[in-house]
Amino acid sequence: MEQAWSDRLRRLTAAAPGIAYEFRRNPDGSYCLPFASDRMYEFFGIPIELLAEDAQHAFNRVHPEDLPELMRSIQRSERTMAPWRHEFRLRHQKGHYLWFLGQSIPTKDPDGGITWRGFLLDVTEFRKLSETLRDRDRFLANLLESLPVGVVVIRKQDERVVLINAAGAAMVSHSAEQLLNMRCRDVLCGGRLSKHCPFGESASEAAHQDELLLVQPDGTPIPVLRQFRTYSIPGDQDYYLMVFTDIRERKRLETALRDSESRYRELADSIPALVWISGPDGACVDFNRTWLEFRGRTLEQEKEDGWLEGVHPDDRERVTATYRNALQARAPFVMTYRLLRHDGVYRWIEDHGVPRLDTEGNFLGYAGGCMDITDRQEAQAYLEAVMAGVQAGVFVSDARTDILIDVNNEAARLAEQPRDSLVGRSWRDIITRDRGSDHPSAEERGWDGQIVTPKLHLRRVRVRETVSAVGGRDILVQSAMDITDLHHLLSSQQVDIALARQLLDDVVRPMPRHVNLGRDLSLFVDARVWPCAKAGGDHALVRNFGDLIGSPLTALALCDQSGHEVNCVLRGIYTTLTLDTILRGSRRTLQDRLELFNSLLELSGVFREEDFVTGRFGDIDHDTGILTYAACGHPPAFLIREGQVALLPDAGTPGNNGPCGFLAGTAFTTAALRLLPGDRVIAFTDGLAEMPYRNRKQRFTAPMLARLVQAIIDKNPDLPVSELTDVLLATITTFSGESVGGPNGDNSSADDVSILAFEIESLTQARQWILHPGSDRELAQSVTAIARELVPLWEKQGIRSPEFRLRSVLEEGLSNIWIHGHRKSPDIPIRVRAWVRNDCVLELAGAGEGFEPERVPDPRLPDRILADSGRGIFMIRRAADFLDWFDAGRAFRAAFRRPAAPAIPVPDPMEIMTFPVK
Amino acid sequence: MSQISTDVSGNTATIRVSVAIDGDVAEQMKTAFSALPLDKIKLLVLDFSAVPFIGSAGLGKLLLFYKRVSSNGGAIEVRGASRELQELFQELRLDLLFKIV
Repeated sequence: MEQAWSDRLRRLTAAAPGIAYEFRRNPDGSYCLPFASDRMYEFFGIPIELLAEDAQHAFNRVHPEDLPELMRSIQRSERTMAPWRHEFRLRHQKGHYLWFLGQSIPTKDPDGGITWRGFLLDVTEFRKLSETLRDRDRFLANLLESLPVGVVVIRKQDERVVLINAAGAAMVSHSAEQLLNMRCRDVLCGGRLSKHCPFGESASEAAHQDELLLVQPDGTPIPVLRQFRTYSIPGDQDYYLMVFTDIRERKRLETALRDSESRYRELADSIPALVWISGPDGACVDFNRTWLEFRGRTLEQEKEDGWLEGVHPDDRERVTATYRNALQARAPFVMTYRLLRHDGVYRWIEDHGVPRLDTEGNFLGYAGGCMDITDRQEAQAYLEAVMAGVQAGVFVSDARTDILIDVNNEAARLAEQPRDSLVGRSWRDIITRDRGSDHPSAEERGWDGQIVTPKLHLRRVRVRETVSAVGGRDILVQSAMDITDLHHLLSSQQVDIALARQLLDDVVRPMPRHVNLGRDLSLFVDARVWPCAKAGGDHALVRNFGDLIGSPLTALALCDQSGHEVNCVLRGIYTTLTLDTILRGSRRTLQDRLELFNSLLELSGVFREEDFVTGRFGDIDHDTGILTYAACGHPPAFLIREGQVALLPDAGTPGNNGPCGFLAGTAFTTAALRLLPGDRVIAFTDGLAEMPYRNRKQRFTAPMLARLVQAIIDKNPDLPVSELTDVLLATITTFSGESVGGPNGDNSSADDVSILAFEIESLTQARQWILHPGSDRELAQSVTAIARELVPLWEKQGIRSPEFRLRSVLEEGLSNIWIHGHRKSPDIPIRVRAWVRNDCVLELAGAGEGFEPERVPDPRLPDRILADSGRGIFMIRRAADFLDWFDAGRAFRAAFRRPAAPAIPVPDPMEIMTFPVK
Repeated sequence: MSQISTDVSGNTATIRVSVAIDGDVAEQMKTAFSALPLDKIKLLVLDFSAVPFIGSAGLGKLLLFYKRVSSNGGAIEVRGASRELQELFQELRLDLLFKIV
């Protein structure tokens, strides 16, 4: 029976989840396991019989760390007979440990022993799970504490705080320990929750969120976002979970964003441009007030593609395509189209779209600005119409780079190239300027040039230029008039302005340079004319008369003609010939000559009614030294005497007359003064005074120029008049931004520039030799001796090839005088004088027979090439820059022009207004 | 040292001048020329490499030499002339008569 019960028990326990056992403490204190279910064997691998005898086999399998406590728990149960319960580790027969929970109930045996009956349950997995849960709890606790948001859990039943993290406690300025178990209302509603109690009306909801102001003890409100929900734990209580997020930064950003948007809106609405904004998909999301007022529609009407309704039907497809293509490329774009205004009028719009990007570079859409360019379009169309209608070719370029910006149809026709192909090129590639072709007036610049087409057709053009500041840069506008036909006509008529000018120059030559006045005085005359490109008729005329008509006289004239071009030059020739003829006639006073000249001009038929001649005229009587002078229609000349500048004639004194050629029979007046050694006189035409006008819009008056001359001589009192003229000209040309003079005689200014200057040179300091050669050798020795003395001196003055040229003059001049004039007589003296002032001058004077140098044939003529003699006069002329014969061919002065003087301080013309007039 | 020297080699004669040719030197040059065996001379070389100047008298003598030498079928060659002398010869068209080297 007992065996049957035991088997039955064993089968029952075999099906149980743990190990059933019977553990006994024998009266002798030893332990044994009288019964153990089969799982015990399966676990330990120890036969049950052995365990029944001695439990030590089982104790040996207890984890050493757990054994002492196990034994103490057993002994406690022995003493108290309380149920035993303990967890410990047992080693499996395979070597690994498993956790077991032992539970059993002790009973006293009759023999004094105690028997525990119970189960051992494998709780290894349970403990692992528990451990995992504990780790998770710790993680959650740490997470909770580290959260930047406040987390509060409140038990619904008593409204007490059961959990609050540090951030949550900080929000109400308490520690978590202080708040734990406090009533929620005491914490959050006790006057600190300004608006809503967390259990207010929202409490009925399962979950919601709102924004509150948590007021700090010091009264500072903290805006928070409260996320609230209730939850229930089955078998437990209901709780409120609240998460408070400090939203001060968000509020600040929202405020800033609102301010920014407000500013953007104010700005966008205040600017006159039409502004729009689109999103990443290209749909327009906003328009400024200007746009909406322009369109007369609401924002809602214009949003998305509503604005396209206002685009002119003819432009819509193009606009859509442009916008779509730009959107795909996310690229900026510019497009023009017609947009319907609120009054039903289409206006031309120039629309600039720019991609909007966030700080990460992400595309947010476009921002666009539009300008109403209808007026500009109309102005452009107007300009196009004007440009198309202008008969001249118009070239518009950047004045700094010369790159063409626009040309009209006529310009394209002249160049025989499409307009588009001309734009972007330098105008200098299209139009070639004729060399030295400037012929400007005072108000404009102009020149002649030519256009060579790709087909090598040649068009001659006259170009007028203006420069205007447009949009911050200087724009050069050139209108090119086609003068090809005119040019051909002139060519076929053989109208040659250069030839006319040469004729005029030849008519006025030769002009005396160094005139012998006797009494150791010499008249130096420097007449210089720089014709401008338009070839005005300025001319100077200087003539010596005396041998034929009484007391010696030098007549001077500096004239200007009205008009320009070839006719002006031709009339200048007529004027010169008339003056010359009058002078060569019977002796007349200057006053008589001027009146006759005036009448002849009017009666000649050469001058038109509107033509006239202006000028300054003077006669110098060699015997008396008296200068008779007059100005006709021109400002006076300057007299520089003893460091002071005076006007000849001064205003209101005799000698001031109107221009010649006005009215026959008009009376003229003259004035006179006695010239003194050292006197310097400068006369000029208006081209000098008006030179600054083109570039500076200023003109010099005669008093201004007088002050300028005064300033120069104040610093250089003894300046020869030729150098004084150089400095005056350099000062004015520099001030005017022009180029006049120079080695090629250029004149870039707008008018002829002419100066007639003279000076009474004293020869008392001249070097002098008196020669009485008796043979060729003695003559040659004299030449060598004089040359040896003068060559270094002239070399110092910068005279080119001084030895060759000096020897040429000395050798040929002395030979001519001695052989031909003196018949080789040693008794007749030959005087040689040399001086340096305005020029380097060599004077040779004999006393024998004179001769007419003009009658000596030119040795270069074909029939003279092989002649044994006759080259002496040629060599003198060739060597000297200027040659003046006097005393019936017995004497001459050979002058060598000194190169331009070294730079001397030049006054600033801007200061001449303040120069005191002495 | 003489300012004018002559040298004859075969039918080539050389007159070497080392001074400015004024009227006096021109006469000396003519004397030297006259002393040459002119009938045999086919080439007259005028060495002017040391001549700083020549006047009209000297030029007249050169033309005299030219007429005499050319009448015998000869030629004149001017050697070493300075730039100033060369320009003078060219202006007077003497470079058509003399070979300027």
